[in-house]
Amino acid sequence: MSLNSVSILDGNMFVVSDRRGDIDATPTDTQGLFLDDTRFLSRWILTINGMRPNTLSVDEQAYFKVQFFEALTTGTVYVDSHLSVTRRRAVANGFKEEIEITNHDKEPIQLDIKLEAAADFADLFEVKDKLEKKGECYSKLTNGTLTLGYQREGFVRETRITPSPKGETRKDGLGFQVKLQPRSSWSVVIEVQALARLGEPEGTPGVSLSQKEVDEWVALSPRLVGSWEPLHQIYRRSLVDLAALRFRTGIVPGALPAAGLPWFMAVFGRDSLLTSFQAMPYAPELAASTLRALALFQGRVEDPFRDEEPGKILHEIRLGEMTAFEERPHSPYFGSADSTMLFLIVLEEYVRWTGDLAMARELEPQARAAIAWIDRYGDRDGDGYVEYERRNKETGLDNQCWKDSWDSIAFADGTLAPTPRATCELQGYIYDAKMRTARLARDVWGAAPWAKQLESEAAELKRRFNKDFWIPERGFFALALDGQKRKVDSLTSNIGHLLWSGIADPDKASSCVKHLMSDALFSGWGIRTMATSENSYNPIGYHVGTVWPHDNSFIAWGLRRYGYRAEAARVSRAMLEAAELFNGRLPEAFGGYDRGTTHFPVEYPTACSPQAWATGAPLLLIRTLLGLDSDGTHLIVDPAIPEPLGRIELLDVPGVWGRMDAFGRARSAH
Amino acid sequence: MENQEQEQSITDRRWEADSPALAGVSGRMRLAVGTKAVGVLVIDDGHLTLTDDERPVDVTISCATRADLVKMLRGEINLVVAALRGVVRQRGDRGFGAKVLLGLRAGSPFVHTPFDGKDA
Repeated sequence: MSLNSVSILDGNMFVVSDRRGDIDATPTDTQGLFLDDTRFLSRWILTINGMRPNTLSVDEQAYFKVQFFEALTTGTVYVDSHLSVTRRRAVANGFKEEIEITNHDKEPIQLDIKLEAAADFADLFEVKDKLEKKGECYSKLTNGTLTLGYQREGFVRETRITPSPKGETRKDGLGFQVKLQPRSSWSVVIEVQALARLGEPEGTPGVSLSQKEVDEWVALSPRLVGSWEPLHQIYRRSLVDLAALRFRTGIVPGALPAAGLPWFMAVFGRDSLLTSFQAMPYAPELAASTLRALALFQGRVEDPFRDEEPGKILHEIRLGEMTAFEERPHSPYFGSADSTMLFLIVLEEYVRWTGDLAMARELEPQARAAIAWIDRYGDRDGDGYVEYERRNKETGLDNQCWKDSWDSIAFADGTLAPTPRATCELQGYIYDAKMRTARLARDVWGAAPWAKQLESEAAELKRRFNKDFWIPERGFFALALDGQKRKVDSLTSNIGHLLWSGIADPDKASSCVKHLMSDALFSGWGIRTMATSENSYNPIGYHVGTVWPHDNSFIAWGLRRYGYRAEAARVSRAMLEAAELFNGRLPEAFGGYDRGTTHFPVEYPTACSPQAWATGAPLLLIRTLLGLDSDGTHLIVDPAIPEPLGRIELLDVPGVWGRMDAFGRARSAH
Repeated sequence: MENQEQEQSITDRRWEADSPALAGVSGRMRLAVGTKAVGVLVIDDGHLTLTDDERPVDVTISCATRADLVKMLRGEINLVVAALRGVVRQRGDRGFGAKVLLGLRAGSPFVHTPFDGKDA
C-alpha cells in the first residue's frame, strides 16, 4: 500500500484515503470504501471555495477511526490561514464523517463547500485492471439522501450518503453554502452506508465500534511485561491489529482473522489457520471460529472450476461481482494444497491448549474427511506425497503452496519446475497432521486402531521423505519434487517448515539449520524466502528473496522443536528488532537485503499491512522465546531468551489450566 | 417466526428421503418464494421430510423464484453465488441454513423429485 494512504477498517469493511481524507481512486491507487470485495465509494473529495484543504497532520486514533487536521492555505508563508478544517472519520457499516470548519478571522466568510461523491462498484479483482462494468450504475436523490447504486441482474449494491444538516444534494455529491461568522465553527455529519448482499444496512455507520471494545480485547489477552521496552509496543500493536482483522461471517459464532489489508480482507484457509496457530496462547477463540467456518465450507464435491474436492479445506472466499457471476472461482475457491493439513494441525493444537473436547468431537467427521482427502485427492498419483496442479486452467492458482506467486518454485538455475509440484513443506504438514490426528483419535475419539494406522503412515512418510527429498551434495531438502519427480534443488526457507512439522531426521535437520543460519539465507533481519546463492534470488522478489515475518516465526518455532534454542532466539530477536523499526507492525514481507548494508529493513513495495500472519508473528516469536507449550494439562515454560531482550513475563496465559503466568530471562552464555 | 403469506405448496404430497451429506444435521427450514411460504424442510440427522406445517423453524430460506427453489432443493445452486446474486436469502440461523444448502449440493435426494409435477 502507498505510504501516503490512510486506512481504517472493521472486519472486511475498510476505507483507504489519501492524507487529506479524500478518495480519488485510480487503477494504480487503491483508494475507496470497500465492503465484501466491492468498492462502494471511489470518489470523495472535499473542496472549499474551489480549493482542496492542505493536511497539517493525521491522527490515527484507532484502527477504525482517524482525524485529519487541515487548513485552507494560501500557498505563501507570509499570509496565515484563517480557516481550519477537521475531518473525523469512523468506519463500521460504512463510515461516518464529521467535517468541522472554523473561521479564525475577525471577518465573516462565505463558504462554498462541496463533497464530490462517486462509486464505481468495482470488484477488488478488477480495481487494478479498470475493467468495463457489465451492469448499470444509477443514482437517485431521496429526502436529502444521495443513493449511488449498481445493478446486474439480482446483484444490487448501493451506497447511501446522508448529511446532517441537509445541504444541496446532487447526483455527483453534496454542497453547502455557509456564511461563517468570525471565531465560529460550522460542522456537518455525513453517514455513508454500504448496502451489500441482503440489501439492508446492518447498523448505523461508524458507531458499532468503540475504543472500549478494543481495550477489552487487549485486556482479555495475556499481559506482557518485559525489560526490552519496544516489546511492549510490538505486542500491543499485534493484539490491536489482530482485533482489527477479525472477521465475522455471520454463519458461525465468533470472529476469525481475515488475511490482510487491502487485497486480502477475506476468509483464507491458510492465512486464517496459521494466524490462529500463532495466536493460540493469547486468543484461542480465534482458532475455534476459524475451524468451524472452514469445516462448514469443507469441500464436498469434485468441482474443477473451484479446484474443489471432497474433504479439502478452502483457500479463499470472495464476495464481489466477479465471484457472483462465476467469472472467478472464489465461491469458495479451493486452490490450496496445505490448508487441509493445517486444519488438522490447528484442531489438535487448539484442543491440546484449551481442553475443548466438545470441539474435537464436533469436528471429527471433518477431520476424517480431511485425512481422506490427503490420501485420495492430495496424493494425485499415488506416490505417497501430496502434489498440486490446478484443474481450473484459466483463473486457478498455479502455485497452491504458501509461496503462491508464479515463479516461486524454481530450480537453482532459475528454471521453473513443471507441475504437479510436491513442495517439501506439504509433506511435513502431512506428517504433523497425521501424528496430531492420531492423538485425537486415541485420546478423544476412542479410535485406537485408526490412531495406530495414522502413526504408521506418518512414520513411513517420514522414512521415504528423508530419502526422496534429500540432496546429499548440497546438504538440504529439495524445495519440491516436480512433475517428473526430479528434485527442485533451490535453497529456500521451506526447509525451516520441516523443523516445525518434525519430519526431518535429526542429522539432516542439523545440516538444514546450518543453511538457515548461513549468510545466504539469514539476512541479519530474518531468513530469506530464497538464498542469495540461487539464480532466481531477488531481494525484492515476492517469494524469491524477501523476508516474511510469519515464515520466520514458524521456522523459529521449528528450531525450538529440534533443540536449536540459540538459533531460535537469534531469529526471534532479529525479527523483533525489525518490528521495532516498523513502529511495532511487521509488514507482510520486507526486502532481503543484508543487514550489514542497511540500518533498517527495506520495505517491500506492495506488502499488505496490517497482514494477519505478520501480525501474528511476534506472538509466536514470544511463545518461542518463552518456550510455551501445552501437554494437554499443564502450561510448559522453557525459556531461551537472548541477552538484549532481558526479561519477559507473560501473565494470565489462557488454556486448559485456566490462567497461568510464564516468566523467562536471558542468561549469560556459558 | 413471522407469519408469511401462504401460496401453493412446493409439493402436493409429503416427501421423505435420506441424505448422507446431511448426517449429523437436524433442524427445520421454512421454504419461501419471495415472501410467500411454500413448505417446510425438516432435517433429522440426514433424514429429510418435505412437508407443510406452521410450526416454528430455525431458518427461512427465501428464493427469488419457484424455479430457483426447486434448483436449491435439487442441489443445483452454489450457496455463495446464489446469496451474492440475491437468488437465495436467509433469515434466522444462517449457519444451519448454510449447512443444509451445502449438504444438498453434495448430494440431494430430491434430484428426481417431480415438484409440482412439472419441474422435473
